[in-house]
Order: sequence, then structure tokens, then C-alpha cells
Amino acid sequence: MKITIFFLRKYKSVIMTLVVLGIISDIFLIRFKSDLITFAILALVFFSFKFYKITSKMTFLLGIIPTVIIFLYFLVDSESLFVEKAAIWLFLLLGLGIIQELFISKKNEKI
Amino acid sequence: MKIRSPKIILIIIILLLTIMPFFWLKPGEMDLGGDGGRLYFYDPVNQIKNLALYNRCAFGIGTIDSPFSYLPFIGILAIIKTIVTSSYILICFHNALKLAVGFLAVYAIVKQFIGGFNKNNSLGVELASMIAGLFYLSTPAMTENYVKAIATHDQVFLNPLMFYLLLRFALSGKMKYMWIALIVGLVFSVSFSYMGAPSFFAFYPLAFIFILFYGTFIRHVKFPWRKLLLTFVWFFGLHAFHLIPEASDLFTFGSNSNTRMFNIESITSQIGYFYAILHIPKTSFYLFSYSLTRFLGQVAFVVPLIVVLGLIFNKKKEKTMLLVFVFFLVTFFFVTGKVTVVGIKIYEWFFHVPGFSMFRNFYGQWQFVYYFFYSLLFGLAFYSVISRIKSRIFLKCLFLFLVIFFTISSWQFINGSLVNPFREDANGVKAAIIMDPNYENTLKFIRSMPDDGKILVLPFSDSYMQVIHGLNNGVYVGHSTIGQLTGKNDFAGYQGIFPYSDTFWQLSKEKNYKAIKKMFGILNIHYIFYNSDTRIYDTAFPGRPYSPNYVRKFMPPDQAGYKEYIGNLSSEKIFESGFYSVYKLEDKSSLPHFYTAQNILFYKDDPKLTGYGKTLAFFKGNIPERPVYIESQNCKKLFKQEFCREDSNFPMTDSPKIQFEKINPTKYKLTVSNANNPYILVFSEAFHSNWKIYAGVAKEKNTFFGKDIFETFSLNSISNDRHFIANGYANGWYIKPQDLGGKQEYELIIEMTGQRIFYVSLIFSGIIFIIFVLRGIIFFDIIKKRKK
Repeated sequence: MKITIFFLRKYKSVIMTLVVLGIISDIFLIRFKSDLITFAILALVFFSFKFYKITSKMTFLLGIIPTVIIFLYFLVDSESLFVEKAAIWLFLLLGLGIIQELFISKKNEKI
Repeated sequence: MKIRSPKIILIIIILLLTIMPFFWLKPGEMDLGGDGGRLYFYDPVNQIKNLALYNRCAFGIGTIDSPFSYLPFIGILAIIKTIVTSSYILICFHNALKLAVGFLAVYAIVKQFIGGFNKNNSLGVELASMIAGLFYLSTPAMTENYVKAIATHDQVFLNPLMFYLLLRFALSGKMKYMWIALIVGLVFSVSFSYMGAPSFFAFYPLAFIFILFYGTFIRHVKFPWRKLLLTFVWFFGLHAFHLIPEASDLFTFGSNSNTRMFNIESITSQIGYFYAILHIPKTSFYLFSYSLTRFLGQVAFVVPLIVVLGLIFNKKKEKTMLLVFVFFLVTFFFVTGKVTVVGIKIYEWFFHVPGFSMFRNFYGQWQFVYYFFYSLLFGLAFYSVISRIKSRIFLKCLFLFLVIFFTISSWQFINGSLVNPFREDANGVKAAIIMDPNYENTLKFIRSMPDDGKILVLPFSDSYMQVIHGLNNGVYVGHSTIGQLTGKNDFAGYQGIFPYSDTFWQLSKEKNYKAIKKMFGILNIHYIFYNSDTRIYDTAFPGRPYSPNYVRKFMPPDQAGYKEYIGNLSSEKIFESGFYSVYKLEDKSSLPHFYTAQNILFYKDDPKLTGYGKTLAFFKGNIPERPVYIESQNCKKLFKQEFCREDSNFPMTDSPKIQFEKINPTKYKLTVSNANNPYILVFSEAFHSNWKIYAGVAKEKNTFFGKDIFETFSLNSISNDRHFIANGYANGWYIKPQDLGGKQEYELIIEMTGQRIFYVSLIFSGIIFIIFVLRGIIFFDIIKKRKK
């Protein structure tokens, strides 16, 4: 267990890259809508952010990725599945960020 | 541009928004058409008389409807029109109200929110609030629905205005805000009626929860519950005149609203409809700022980017923004309907909640709420971003950039081409019309015609629409005007002539004029209104509402064909003015509004037939004189079983003589003589269990509201068991001599009892209104005195 935690702590950048790649690959590589995949990646995002104590600011920053994807594809083909999936990811990431912020403000209130 | 004072910019924006709609239409033009119909701008007085005062529809067979919520708004229009006399000004003023109040209210809300956590940077607060207001005006919910706007479109300014008033009330506890909200709500009662239920329930519960959370958890104020309860009491009192009749209709088994709300089969079909349209809304479309100008597509990126940046820069974790964002996400879920497969399933589950089926057209109904919260979020996010900007020049440039972006992207809306566009379904005609005086003369003539007899409108349309070409190149395409403006029910299209729709088309295709005349008799059609304008049927409208694959397959293909068609139905032209003429049908085929049946015919319902084709089950072959068609199930309830053989004809000899007089569209007086035997009385008006027959002498005469309106309260009605659906749609009563104590000569009163509910509710609302106004005068007087 300790080794795993050590490993995860050491390779933070690898895990975070995987998270980002997971989102991007769900948008671009998977040609159908699957809740299982989407929620699995979202869970990965959630737990990794919790593990690394990443703030909501980072989650919102991550939200820029789907925003840019929508922006680029919206001009080329607004009907594209990529655009729709990116929009869903933006929704989920912003939602996640908001939940984080609400938890933080609740914690601050208690303090 | 040097920003000397944000207030000056605000005043300029409001002035521009107020003036702008006056350039959308040319003087004299009116945008009246559309599904909902906007004829109240054209002739509010006749709209009140024929549409808003009675529990019965002015179209087709006269189905039961509760349009009473129109009363205050059309009443105020009627008063204003006596002063300004121009429908054009009324329409422009109404549009200006939507724009200016919508903008101002969003501006005020955002200012209130930012003011709640920031007392400095007044320039930033002002600019962010204005940007939020402008963004709200540029959203598709605002720009795309002005043409042919239905009455509930008022929500574009009512939603933010009511939100602001409720917010101020929650924060200050002052009743004056609720007093204003109640008055505004009363004027725009349609938005708070059954008709406006989807927009009401989409917005107000969310708005209330938001304000409750905001007041309690962010501003830490005690919510004025007691005063809110008092406001609810006032609200129900003031709106009783339409809410009580609507509620009564809702809980009447078999009524349209009852079926829609509680019927399980109906819920299944609503879910089917939800899935059928689910592919239409695009999640990405709702996230991006909408631009009517194509080349600005790239810049649409700016709005969601500012929102994301606003969240990133929200270092102090400002709770107002978080709360707005939560509501933004909730409404995003509702407007798109497809946030993940689980989300879709949850949405489907909502349809099992009684009443949720009103949101079956979900993206249309939630878009107003969604863009409202999006605007608030955008305003707050913009403030969050600009509060990081130290350079005032950059701040002003950013503001200017966004103003220019919103202006250019909404340019089609601003210049009016979206409000008065060339019709997509027609060749080279616009939506706004200058009314032809010849048509006005025709309406005047129709009003002078006898009460008895309905009107067939030709050319016949696909739906319930009528087309009238104006003096300009504008065309009215909307709900048939004759019933609404003259009080004579009319049949303008396939849906309007329900349940004879398929029968009529079939007979017209076969050119079976004899049967058509018989059918007209059963429907109480005595007149034909014919518009011979070749522009509407032959040139301008090749498609809807005269579709080649629909109505033109059955009805004459052109105006020349229509002339021949009418020639076979009537030779008696009783009026002509310009393109418009009125024909009278031959007396021998006509049946009066009330008649006693000479021939009873029984039939078995065919469940495979749709509502529009139901009459195909019986209306065929030789049709005898004065017939009444009774479905065999009804027959068994009325008569002995052996009597009810299908396709059998029982002549009824020795029927009594009747004469009738219309007191108002919901009440008739009948004089019966020589009633020696049982007989069947047919009333050619849509069946409803609230139509009752009372034995008694009517004192009330040709009035809407008199001292004798409740004269039937003390009278006994003829048993409901002998009230049945006649001829597939109408009211039939089997009346026996013992019902009238064996009398042979007597008088009857036929009344729609739902109208009495309206009278009682109206009196109640009237009393409450007087108390409310007096209370308001005292209230505001006290405030003034206190100030002194």
C-alpha cells in the first residue's frame, strides 16, 4: 500500500497526464457515447484531484480544454460528436469544480 | 470613446432599446400571426367579447376552453388603444417593454449581487451589470421569438423583473416590491395561467429556491415568510378569476387538461415525444454565445471562456457566483436533456411526475430560464475577470469589444429583419401586415349576420390557419380570425373541423356535394367565407398552410377550382368586398344550432380511426333528414339493448317544435311546443358534461353579466344519464315528458355551468382587486408621510 502511495506521489505528473489524455481520448477516440467510460474517467479525475489535493482552480483550468475543442470543432462541424462530447465534459468538469469549491467554503466556515 | 459616467451609457442603452422596436415595422404594419394569435393588438374589444369572456372556444365546434387569463392584458390594450388608436404603436410599445425591462432587470440583479460582496470598483460593477443585460438580450431566447410571439413570450422580461422584485423583497422585507410584482403579474395573467404553466413552473420554483438560498446562506437575512404567505393569498385572490375555472377544468374527468396531466397513456406518448425531439438541442450550442452573424462564429468562444476564467479568478470563492453556477448547471441539464445516458434516464423519470409532461417540448420551455441564469453567471464571471484588470483602458476596451460583439451578432434582430422576416414557407411575403379595409368591411358584415350558423372558411388549410394578404406585401397567417373577431364560429382547416376532418376531405375529393351539404348541416355551417385572392392560394403559398401533399390533394388545387367548388354548394352570394365574399348555404340542407332529431342512427366506434377520422365510422351512404348519430355504447345506456342494432335507423315521428334564442355563447333559451312524446334534442356544439338543460324561464337577455346570471342555481337540470355525444361531437339529450312534469309547452335554459364558476371567481377577484388597490394607496401614502 505504502509503495503504491509512494508511486502515485512520485508520478503525479504521469497520473495527471493520464487524466488529461483520458478526457481527450474519450472525446476523440471513442466514437460512441458511453456513460461507463465517461464516469470512469470522471472518477479518476475526482480521486486523483482529491489525492493530490488539487484545487478547484485546476479543475476549471482543465475545463478550458473542452472549451477550446468545442471552439475549434464548432466552426468546422457543429454537428460533430466531438463537439457534443466536449460540451458534456465541460459540464462535468465545471460541475466537479463547483462541488470542490462548495466543500472548501463549507470547510472554511467550520474553521 | 471616453466613459465619463456609466449612468450615461445606461441611459443611452435604455433609450436605444425603447426606440429600436419602432423601426422594426413600418407605421401601419402589424405582426399578428402565429400559433397563439395576436389579434388582441388589432381589435382588443372584439377579442374580449369573443375570446376572453366565455368558457367556450370561438373556433370550430366550440370546444370548452378557459381563456379568461387574457382579460386584464387585453383590457389594458383596449384602454390604451382608445388613446393611441394605432395597433402599430401598441405592438412596438410592447416589444420595447420586453427589451428595456428585460435589460434593466438583469442589470439590476447583477448589480445587486456584486454590490452584495463588493462596495468598491463602481465602474466595474456597472460595466459587468450592463454586459450581463446585453448578453441576455442577445441570446436566442430573446432574439428568435419576437416574430409571431405567443402571449407567454412576455417571460423574456417578466422572469428577470419578477426575480428582481422577489430578491429585493427577500433582502429588505418591504412589501412594496411584492405589491408591484402582484400588479405586474395581474396585467400579464396569461403567464400565470394554465397556458403559461410550463414557463411558470420552469422559472419560478428555481428562482424562489435561488433567492431563498441567497438570502439565507449568503446575505444572512431572515426570509420574510409571513409576508410571503400574505403575497400568496393576494396572488390567489387576484388571479382567482382564471385559476379557479382552470382548476375546475383540470379536475374534470376527460377534459383536455385533465387527460394531459393525469392520463398514463398520455404520459407514455409525452415520453415518446421527448425522445423524438431529443436529437434537436445541441449541448455545445447552449454553451456558446449565439450569433446571428455567421462570421462571428469564432468569437462565440468568448462567453464560455469568460465564464471559465471568471471561475478561475474567483479566488475568494465568492458564494454568489457558485450559487448562480449551480443553477446554471441545473438549467443546462434541463434545456439540453441529454447530459449523459444516465441524465436522459433521469429526465425520462421526471415525466412520471404529474404535470411534468408540460415540459415535453423541453428545450423551448427551459431556454428562457437557462439564458437568464447564464446571463447572471456571465455578468458575475465578467466582473471576476475585470476585477483582476488594473488598467482602466483595457477594461473599457474589453467592455467595448463585448458591446460591439453583441451588437453585430444580434444585428439581424436589431435591424428588424428577424422580427419582420420574409416568410420561409411563402414566396416573397413578409409577416407584418397592413389590414385590407375590404376585409374589415367583411368582418363588419359577418358581425351583423344572424346568430345561428357557423362559417366555413375557404380556401381550406392544413391546420386551423387562415391566410389574409395585406395592402403591403405582408400576410397574416394565423389562427382563423373570423371567430375571434366576429363571434361566429368558423372552420378554417383540417384541425378546426374535427372530428369531420377526414370525412370532409374525402367527400370534397369525391365531389359529393350532396353529402357535404348534409355534413355542413350537422356541423351547423350556414355560410361560406371565401377569399378569392390568387396571391394567397395560387402564388405566395405553395406549401404550408396549403400543402400540396396534404390539403391540395383533397380540396381544389387553385382558386379557379374553388370557384367551381363553391358554385356547387351555394348560389347565393350575400356579400362581396374586394377579394372577400360570403355565401349562404341552402336552407333545406341546413340544420339549426338546436334541432330535434327525426332519424336516430346507431353505429359502432372504430378504435383504429384517429380523432380526425372518427366520423368515417358512420357518416356514409344516404343521410336521412334531421339525423342524429349515436354510438352503440351510448345507445345502450339510453335505450333498450335490442333497440341499438348497428347501422339501423329509427324514425322519430311527432317531434316537438322548438325555437331558440342566444343569450350569450354559453347560455341559450329554448321554447318547446307540442312535446307529446320523448324526443332527442341536439345542440351542435362540442360535447361537454357541463352543458346542462334546466326547465325554467330565462330572464337574462343578450348579456354577458347581469343580475340574472345565477338564475339556474335554484333549478334542477335534466339527468346527466341522458346527456350523450351526438353526431360524433355534439351534445344530445334524450328528453322524456316526465322530465317536465308531463307538460307539452315549456321553456328550457341550456347553460355551460363552467361559465358560472367564472362569474363567481370574477366577482371574488374583483372584490380582492379593490381591497388590494385601496391597501396599496394607503400603503404608499403611509410611505410618503413617513418620508415627510
